[in-house]
Amino acid sequence: MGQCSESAGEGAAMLASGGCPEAPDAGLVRDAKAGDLAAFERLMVLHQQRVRVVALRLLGDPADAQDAAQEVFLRLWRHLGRVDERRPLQPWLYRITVNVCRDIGRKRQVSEPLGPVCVTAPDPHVAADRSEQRRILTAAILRLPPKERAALVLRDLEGFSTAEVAHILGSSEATVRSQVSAARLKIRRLIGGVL
Amino acid sequence: MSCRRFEKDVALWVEGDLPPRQARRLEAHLPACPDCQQLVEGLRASQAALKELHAEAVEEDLAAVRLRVLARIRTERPQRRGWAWAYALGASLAVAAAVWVLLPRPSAPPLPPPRMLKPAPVEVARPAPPAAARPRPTRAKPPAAPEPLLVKLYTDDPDVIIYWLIEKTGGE
Repeated sequence: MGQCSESAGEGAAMLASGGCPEAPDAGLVRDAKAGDLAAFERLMVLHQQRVRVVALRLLGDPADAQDAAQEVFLRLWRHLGRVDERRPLQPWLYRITVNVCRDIGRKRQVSEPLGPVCVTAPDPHVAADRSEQRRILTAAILRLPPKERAALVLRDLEGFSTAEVAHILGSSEATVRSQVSAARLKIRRLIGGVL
Repeated sequence: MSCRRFEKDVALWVEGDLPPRQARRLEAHLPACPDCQQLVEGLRASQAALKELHAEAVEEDLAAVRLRVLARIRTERPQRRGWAWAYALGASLAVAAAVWVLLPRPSAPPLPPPRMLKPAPVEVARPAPPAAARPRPTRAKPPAAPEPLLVKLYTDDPDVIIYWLIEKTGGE
């Protein structure tokens, strides 16, 4: 299970096969439903890394991402009764994460609009080093419209299939393909000069 | 820079997301189109950078989030669980109080339970008549002043508890 939570690519593949994440989560979810806080904490340990990373990619701000992760797990606790332990927990968690980040993003847009983000290297003739590339790439992702950003993060960073992303986002596969395609082209244009 | 017609398809094709029929069409077009080939290269580079970003570890104390979540749960949980108990207890006590107050009672004070004053003498030869063996009620004590019934009702706010004192009136 540790593997499943550490590697979303593997996790996504396992979701498709209905394999690894289901069994361990099922017991923990059942115990947590019965009020076992230790089981609930174990669930958090297993999933919080990916929830936290996805929130960071969607929001861009570490403090916001931490708030989002906290809210996601609080919602999980409050709605445990609705969680079907026979199904993998990951899609449910990612859906909540996207929703929570969308809510936080909306509030932030109202109160603190994002300033212009520099997505070009300081000197276009000098190749950016790795950390600079990461910074530029992160900024480029944040420049995407929220829906395209969510689709790209889930498909290309977290490794879910198009069908799984559609399930998580509650949209059609055609819509996800369109969003992912548009997002990839924008990212390529935004960071093309620094790669 | 590239064929507008194929641009979106190329962005899906580089990760194997293009449906087979469209993929075959694009693959037939690519060898003859340097612009699309260049786009493929560019997209492969940016996609590789995205994948590297995924592998980046979070350098934060994840335990802090867990502790905050658990602390919130512990403060919420007693209230949530307490609600059910409070409702159940409050309702039970209210029903018990209503029954106790409203049920008709005899006007005479209730007799205390029978008590043997003295063991009846036992004759070996002849058993004592049943009447002698029957315990005789002692003189009834005057009924003590009825104590009021306390009903405790819990509310939303754990700091607010409603106490309801019901005075016994004799049931008449």
